[in-house]
Amino acid sequence: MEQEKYAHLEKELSPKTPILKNVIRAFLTGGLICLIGQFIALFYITYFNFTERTASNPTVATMIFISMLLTGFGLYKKISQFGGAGAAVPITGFGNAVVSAAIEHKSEGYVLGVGGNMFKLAGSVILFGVFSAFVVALIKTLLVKFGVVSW
Amino acid sequence: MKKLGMLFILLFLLTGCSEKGTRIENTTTFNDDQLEKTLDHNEHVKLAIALLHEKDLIAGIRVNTFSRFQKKKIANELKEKLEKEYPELNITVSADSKVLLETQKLINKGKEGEYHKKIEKIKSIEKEQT
Repeated sequence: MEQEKYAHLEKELSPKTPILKNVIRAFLTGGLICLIGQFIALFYITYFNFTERTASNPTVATMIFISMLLTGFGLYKKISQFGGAGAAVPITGFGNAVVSAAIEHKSEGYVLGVGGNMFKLAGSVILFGVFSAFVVALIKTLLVKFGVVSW
Repeated sequence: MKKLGMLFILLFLLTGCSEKGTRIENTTTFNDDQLEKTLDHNEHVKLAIALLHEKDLIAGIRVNTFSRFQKKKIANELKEKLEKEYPELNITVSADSKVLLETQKLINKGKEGEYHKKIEKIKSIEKEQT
């Protein structure tokens, strides 16, 4: 009973989450990041020998590099505070997670501190990313084998 | 005043998407009427730039926004169709904007001596996987 009461009380007292506002902010921030990425992709397509398909790799690398710089200068924090999921979900959020963990544990030394903790946050992204890619590839392979879709 | 500005921005954004056309550069003796017809009559294609040179036909297409998910399929279908119409030619059709861009650049430069070399280059870039 006590627990239920507490939950009720907490619900009443805590400020309401402005869902719509958060969603709009995330949409704008994420959209802006992707727009910048699109421009970088266009830059690689126009000035280098990349096609639409192959330009994605250097684009991703550039976006991660930019977000790492911004994290180091303390600017990505502000973007994340404004954009929420809009700044965390694109690939730039991944770069931010790696570098911010590295900065945080720098005082513990380079090997056990930075090296050991760098992928503390991003490690799960890599693990589940690789795993889900494996599952998707498995499903697609089966579908191609049975002739439902083509590569 | 603010509303008027918004209206102009909206109009500007909307008109940005309406380019349509077909451009063909032919340095061979092949008849390109059929090619133009095929490219023009495809409902998914909004911009096509084609270059015929020696034994090569290279065409870069841009598909409508909502057909973009099937652009590979559309390009393949066009290629098959063109292969039936021009069985003597090596045909490359691609919905990749790089091919469109490079073909356009090549035609605008207009140096026929470079055509063969550049066409081979575009083809090799287009085939690259990663």
